[in-house]
Amino acid sequence: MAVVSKRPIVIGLEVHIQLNTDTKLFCSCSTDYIGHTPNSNTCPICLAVPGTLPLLNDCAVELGSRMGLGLHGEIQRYSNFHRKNYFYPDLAKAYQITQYGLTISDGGYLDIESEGKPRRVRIHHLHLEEDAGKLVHPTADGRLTGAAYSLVDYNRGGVPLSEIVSEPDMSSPAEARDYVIRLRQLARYLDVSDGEMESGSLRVDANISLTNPDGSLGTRVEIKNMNSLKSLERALEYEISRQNKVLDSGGRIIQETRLWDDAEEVTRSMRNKETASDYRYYPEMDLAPIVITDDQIEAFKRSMPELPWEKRERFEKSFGLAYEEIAILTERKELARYYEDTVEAGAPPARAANWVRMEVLRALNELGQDITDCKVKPSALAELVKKVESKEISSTIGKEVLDVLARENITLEDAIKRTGASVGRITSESLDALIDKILGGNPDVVDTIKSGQDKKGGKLKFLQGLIMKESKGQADPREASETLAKKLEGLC
Amino acid sequence: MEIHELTAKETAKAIKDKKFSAVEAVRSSMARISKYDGVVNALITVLEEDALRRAGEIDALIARGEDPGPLAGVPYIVKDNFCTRGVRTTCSSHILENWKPTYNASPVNYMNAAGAILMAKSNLDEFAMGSSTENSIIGPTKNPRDLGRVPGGSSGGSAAAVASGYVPLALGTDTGGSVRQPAAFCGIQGIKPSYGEVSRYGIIAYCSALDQVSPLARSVEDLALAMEILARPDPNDTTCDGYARPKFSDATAMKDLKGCRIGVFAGFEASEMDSDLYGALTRAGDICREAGAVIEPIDLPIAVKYGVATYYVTALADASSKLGCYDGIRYGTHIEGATLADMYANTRTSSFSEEVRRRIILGACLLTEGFYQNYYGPALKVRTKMAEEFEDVFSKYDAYLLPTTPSLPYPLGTKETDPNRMYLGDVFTVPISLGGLPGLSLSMGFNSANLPLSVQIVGSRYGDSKVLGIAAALERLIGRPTVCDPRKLGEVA
Amino acid sequence: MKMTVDREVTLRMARAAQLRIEPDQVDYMMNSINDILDFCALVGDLDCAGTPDFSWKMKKLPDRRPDIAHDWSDRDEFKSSAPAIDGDFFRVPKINAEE
Repeated sequence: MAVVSKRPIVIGLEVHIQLNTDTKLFCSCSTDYIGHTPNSNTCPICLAVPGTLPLLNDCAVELGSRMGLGLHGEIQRYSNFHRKNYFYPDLAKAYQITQYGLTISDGGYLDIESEGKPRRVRIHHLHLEEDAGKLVHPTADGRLTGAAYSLVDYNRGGVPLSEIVSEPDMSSPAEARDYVIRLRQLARYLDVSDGEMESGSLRVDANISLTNPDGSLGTRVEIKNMNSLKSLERALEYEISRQNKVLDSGGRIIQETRLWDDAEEVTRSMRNKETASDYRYYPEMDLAPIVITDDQIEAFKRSMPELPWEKRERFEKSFGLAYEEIAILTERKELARYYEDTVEAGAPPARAANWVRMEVLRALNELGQDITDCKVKPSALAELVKKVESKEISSTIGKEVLDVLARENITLEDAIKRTGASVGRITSESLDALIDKILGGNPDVVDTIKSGQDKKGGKLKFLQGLIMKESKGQADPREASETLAKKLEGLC
Repeated sequence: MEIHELTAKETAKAIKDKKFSAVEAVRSSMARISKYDGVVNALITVLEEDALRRAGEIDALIARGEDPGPLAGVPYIVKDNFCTRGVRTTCSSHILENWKPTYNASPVNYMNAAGAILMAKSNLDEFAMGSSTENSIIGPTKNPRDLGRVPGGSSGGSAAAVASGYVPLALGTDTGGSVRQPAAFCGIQGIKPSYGEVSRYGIIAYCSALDQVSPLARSVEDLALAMEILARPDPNDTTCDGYARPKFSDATAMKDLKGCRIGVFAGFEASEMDSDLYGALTRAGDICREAGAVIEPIDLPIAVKYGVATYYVTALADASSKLGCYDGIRYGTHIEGATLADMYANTRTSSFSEEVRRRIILGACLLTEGFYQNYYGPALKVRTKMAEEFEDVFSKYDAYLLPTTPSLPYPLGTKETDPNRMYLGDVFTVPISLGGLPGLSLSMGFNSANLPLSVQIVGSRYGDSKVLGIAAALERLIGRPTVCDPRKLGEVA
Repeated sequence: MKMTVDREVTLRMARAAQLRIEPDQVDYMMNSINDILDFCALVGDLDCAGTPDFSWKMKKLPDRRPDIAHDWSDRDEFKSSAPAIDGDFFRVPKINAEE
């Protein structure tokens, strides 16, 4: 739904992505915590045991830098950490170590397309910070004992995040969504994060304001707790209409943080919670500064993979594909890789694009699989596409063969046999003979057609079906119907 | 000489030469502790059994002809803010009253690996906040040179233990003078190394930006030996410098001070401080000149004027944030409450002393917006100015002499309420901490009332060797401090 | 610029630090904090225009930690000494999920 607002909308996003490291930001505990026993991914450092000191993960610095470069940011030769002081049980040290002021990457932009229009969203900065633990609130009748208590699990505490703060450059919920989609795609291309919103490895906070009639910026409201792209859009839409209503009735927007309630589809004010100005920031003196040399930056740049927009451009140039096709094929680098492997194995680019986009994705979708799980090897797909292209097998049979390959680990030849088709397409001579045989065997049908009584073409379809059936699908449908038509004409 | 009168170096040599065993060294140490600590109250936890067992192992190594290390069999003590595996580590606070760490601080591991034997954990002002070792869960430590006076602090327990001959060597932490001042008050030697020389891993923080592990001993040679063992890169502390340290004990071989340029602090009038301590400073300068050094008066106007205020702003802000982890959830004291806020407040209010609470609240204040702009922010810039002043001095001098403290050890229970006066005691130690410079408090004998005199030798950042060298040369001329049998002055010596 | 705290700020700061001040102690705490603030205001007197913030200089910056996971062997020992444990969790008074 397109949102309507008579006041121009100004949206900025703060996106947290969990970095793809093996260990936490400041200790050697594994980041693989989902489903683990509570507090099993902990150590003296992430439990804030007295005397311990944070030890910065080199890989997090690299991933943060890579993401910064991907966003066209300026990687800082010198940056440092701060402590964000506040008490909460999920924060073991009573401060979060985060970057503030001097951050690992400064500035940059991300180009997006939204509703067919290109737009550039400027990036304010990217910084590193640690995640907090989790609180569990058992209910009185819950399975956990001691319902008078809340419980703390520090497994997530210290997991590395990079926060990407955009400029307020988005003007609709759809743009905000498309920005997150592009950002997530970039993070995945760079192997910086899996970017799953549902599992919390990508989290979005939004700042939204409505511009005043005099053009000045309105009061900014922060919205948190949106767990999917859909809820991001819904929350922004809700907030736009809420703010418009408040302003229409002569009210004032107050600067606050609101939580999105997914079930009720409303945003709610977070009362009694500290606001940003109450957080006490303070330089973290337990950590050496992050110094990144020019050589390291050069090495990061060299190790950058092809970025989504670069791939799109190349696909357009090398394969001559349409924008829509490219968009789908390059959405994920794994799919793009699959497609390229198929082309490399000899499939014509345009045909391969069609097969991958339509058939492979359909088969995967039916099976609930990811492209990385795909049992159809690109080389097999290429052979299959070539066989269909050379009419060795029909496209109908080809699709059946693909379905078999997608389900079972068998060779292309076995899959073709499985569909009942013998290898090799029927020759024109055999097709001629076969049609003659069929026409000879069904004189009444032929008569009906000849007499012009087959108005709806049902009899003709019947004959075509017989040809395909008798040829075990080896007849090329187009050739078969052309030959049939010729022969029927000759009989007239 | 009896065992307890020997230095660490002499003790290790005697044990390796089988003049006496490590077990005997530990027994000697225990005898001193048993005899005097009831009165001195320098120790929170004594580890007799562990120490005897470890001594047995050292003796066995020696019997097998193996080298247990440069501190073979030397009993040592650490301040009770060093984490020790399985051994209660209290920080003199109710909040950690019964806390047993699961790991050793790096400096403890280094000492143990060098063959030293941990005898006990010593008293301190709660969380190292204080300069008299009176604010403690076990009550005040007394100065063994005069039991009616404070030993200084916050490493007062370690200083009193070394002066009383419990051990030849002890470790403390120095944030704004917490080793140098008690060393001066107890009439022994103590050095705060340059910031970044020694790992802070396992040291319970007061102020991350300034805390530095610092040895106390009765000879400069022992300080150098300790530095050699302690100062090294540590993968567990990234604020500990990664560079290859010089061999600190080589520095103490310096025979005279020919070619040395030494500045002597002349920024105070004699009337502004204790006259005997002023005299000790003058005398130290004279001795340096006689030993061949070029002596010139220097002033440090920024450091002296702004040092203490800058120090308090820096340290309290840091302490406030570092002490947030004591929330009653994962370790330490926990006092139930109906709500989370109650549990926090119950736990923290009753487990921290009033002085610590004041510092935490003040620190929290300093980090809020307006206060940050007017206090913490300027303090960060003043530190840069101060560092420039120091650099300027060290472009002309190898080292300079300052008093360690402006006053002699004061009587126990002296409640100082005027912060201007209270903090004046730190005026010569905190600027050195803020600059990250090495500072060594050297015993200068006693005044006519038998109270200890001292002088502070300060070097450039990472100029620890030079400081140790000058101190060793001076010590040779002045004589090194001896063990005392703790007593109340006025009694027959 | 010299700053002071009033009773309200003193109490707010104590709350931020999760400390309680007994009602009859508020003035005493406030006054002793103001004494120190008064003394420390000195830091604002030095002209530091154009001076950068202080930071430590190091001779050799230590290497950053390699991204290799290690398990902690003393976890059970640590947990057994924790003050309030419930199963594998640390326990705190009930917090409303919305808080």
